[in-house]
Amino acid sequence: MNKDKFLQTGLLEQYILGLTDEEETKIVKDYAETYPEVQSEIDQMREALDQYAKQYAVMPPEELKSRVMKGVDQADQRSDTGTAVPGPASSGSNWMGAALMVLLIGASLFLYRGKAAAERDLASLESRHTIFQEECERQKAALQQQQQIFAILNHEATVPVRLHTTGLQANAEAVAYLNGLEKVAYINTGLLPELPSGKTYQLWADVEGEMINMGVLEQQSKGLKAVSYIDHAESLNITIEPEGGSDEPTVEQLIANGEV
Amino acid sequence: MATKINEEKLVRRLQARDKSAIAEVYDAYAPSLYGIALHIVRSEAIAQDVVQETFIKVWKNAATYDTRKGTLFTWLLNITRNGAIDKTRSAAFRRRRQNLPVDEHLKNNHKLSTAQNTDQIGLRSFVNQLEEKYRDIIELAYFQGYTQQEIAEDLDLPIGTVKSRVRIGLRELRKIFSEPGLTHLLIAAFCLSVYWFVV
Repeated sequence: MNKDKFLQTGLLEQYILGLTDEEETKIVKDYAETYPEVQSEIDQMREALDQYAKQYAVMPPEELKSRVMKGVDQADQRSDTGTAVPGPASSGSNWMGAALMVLLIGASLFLYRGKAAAERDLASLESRHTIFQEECERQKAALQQQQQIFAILNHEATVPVRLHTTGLQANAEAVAYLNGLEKVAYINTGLLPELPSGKTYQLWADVEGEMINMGVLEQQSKGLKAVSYIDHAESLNITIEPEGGSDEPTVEQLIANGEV
Repeated sequence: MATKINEEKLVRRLQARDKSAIAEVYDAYAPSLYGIALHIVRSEAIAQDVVQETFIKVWKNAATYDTRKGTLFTWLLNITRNGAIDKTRSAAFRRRRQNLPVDEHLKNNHKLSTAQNTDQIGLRSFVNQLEEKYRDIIELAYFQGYTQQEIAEDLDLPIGTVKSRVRIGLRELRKIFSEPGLTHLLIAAFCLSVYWFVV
């Protein structure tokens, strides 16, 4: 098709109004490239259409300009922080970025290690704190017990009773403390010799010829131990009994006694 | 309106990412672009969005603009027009417009466009020289983005008639704008009187 015939088809006008499909658009562009007259037609029609469009001009509100400029600034920032613009101008900032990245990774690793160490320390401190607290409670209880004993021993109504060996066993000595006012009794068995297994010491009060049980003296616990207080005891007696103690004393095994 | 040389300079500054250039482009073309967007979307808020998006696109894509392919204004106009037409095709926009029958919508377009801007640029009377049947075609094709088939259905015309109206309409339009206007006549008269006076 020659140029004049082409201009008669109306394809050019359709193209200007955006009504052509891809294939038709290509035909128009090819003609425009080949014939300057066709290009000039296009330019003139576009110019007319531009003028036509300008008839609709309306003054936009004043704030639109600042909105537009802000939008442009933001678009700039987004592209700055987003995809890096290639080219030599940006290589410096790329290098800086890489350095900054390494620095940040290093810093976070350092801080992470610090945090992990701090967590470990905290856990260890917490467990130690618990141990100390338990120890403290134990000490407090022990101290209270000691204070109680001390108070009793120190009491004006407390009477010490020294028990001596009957000769059956050498060195069978003990000291008891009786307080008639508070109705408490303690005995220190630290000086009694050790017994074979299956045997135990037992303390008895002699009240008008009758032996009354004051308690089994466990070998394991050394030092002062509490026993039952019996009123009107005339003497205190220690016998050797089978493990667990007896209801009646084995008189043949009386190893120590003392008068009150 | 920027002359050809100014425009080339302006484009070069845009491409060199000179932000004051975009402000100058705005000052020169914003009323036209805003008016076109408003004409298409019929909502001031949406038209403002369209203009903002247009300038952001211009700023981002300034490097791709080729002065040989058309004037700066044509480029700006096409971005605005396409942006505005895209808005009219969004689901939300369609829902809003659904209540109006198409003919009513077209009539409203004309009513609004005539009433709106006669006093603003003074070109309106010029364009009114274009017969309504050609104006309808340009409205639907250029401002609403309709295909020839859609225009034919919309105006209840055979497609051949649409094609011929496209052709004649644009030729008429070109004739209107290429004729020496009143301004040219006045300038000629002024020059003649000065010449008369001097001689």
